Amino acid sequence: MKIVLRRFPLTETATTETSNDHSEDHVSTLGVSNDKLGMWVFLGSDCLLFGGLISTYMLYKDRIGPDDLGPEEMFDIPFTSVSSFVLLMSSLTVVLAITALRRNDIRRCRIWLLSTAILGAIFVGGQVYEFTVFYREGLGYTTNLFGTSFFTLTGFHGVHVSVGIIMLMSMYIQSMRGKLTSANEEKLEIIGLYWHFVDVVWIVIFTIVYLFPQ
Amino acid sequence: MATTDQLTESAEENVSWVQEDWIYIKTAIVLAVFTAIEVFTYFESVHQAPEWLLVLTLSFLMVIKFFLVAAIFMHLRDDNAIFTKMMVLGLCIAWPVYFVMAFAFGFLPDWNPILKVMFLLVPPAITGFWLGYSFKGGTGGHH
Repeated sequence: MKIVLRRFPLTETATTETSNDHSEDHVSTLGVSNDKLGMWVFLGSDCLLFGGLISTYMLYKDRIGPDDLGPEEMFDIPFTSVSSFVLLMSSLTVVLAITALRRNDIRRCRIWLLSTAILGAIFVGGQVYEFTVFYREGLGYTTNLFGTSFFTLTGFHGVHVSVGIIMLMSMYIQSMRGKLTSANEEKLEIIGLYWHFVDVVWIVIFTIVYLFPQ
Repeated sequence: MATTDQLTESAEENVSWVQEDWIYIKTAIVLAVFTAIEVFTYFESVHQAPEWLLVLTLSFLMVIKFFLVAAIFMHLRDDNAIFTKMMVLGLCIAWPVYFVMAFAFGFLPDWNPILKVMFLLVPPAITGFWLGYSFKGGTGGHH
């Protein structure tokens, strides 16, 4: 029994806290809180989902009719590159918001939070514009398998970004009401994890869907 | 009134925060440069390069960007090593599985089969070797 306690010193802490106290400071044996661990598990499952959608796109991107427009004719790479750059920079602003909150600099944290939400909104706006252009050029959701797999993949990613914006704005409102302090910094860190994941997924989508030779 | 020691401590703390932010800014600059290189491959003169070279270059840049965000922005390098190892193990398995399926259904049909096998096996073999080499067992201690 002694060996078990020495190898997993946090097990005892976590158990004691669970039985005596229902505070939010529960720590898993991995040295992170259960909330954060939960987010990592969720991100792992989301990885599988995006993996499935990306491979579906790879399989179906050439399934177009003889008169349909294909990826090479449809994609506007310079425009999407700017969108990608915007999303990439939003990862920087969210991490700056977290470090500002960590040093209890609420004013700067708010600025970075709002910047992240705005950058995310610009990205989603760009995606809506891109979808509209595609639709006008004759590529709808059910036009062909390329259209279906493309819209499902990028649309699903867009929904993730939109959910992230909502979470960031809720953090912003909490900070305005004085409920966001360095004491509950982990809340923002968990949302930051989600936001970075959305960015990481776009890194893969941008390369495989847009830049790989068609 | 603050003592000299307290003021020094506060100044040191500020410096350390600035340094931490600087790491993130540097990472963002590197990511931006890598993205610019990726986009550069789209332009006509570079796009004429052999397909295998483009795919390998883009894949390499994609993986580097992926790990930079995960390690620095997501603080994976500061968390328990088990998180990094689990993620890398998952990717080592997922990489060949997804690409075997993609190749089987006609993705990059002009590629030489030997090149395809290398593309499937080399990245997971290198990372798998690192994973096995760095595995110490026991408590899976912190970085």
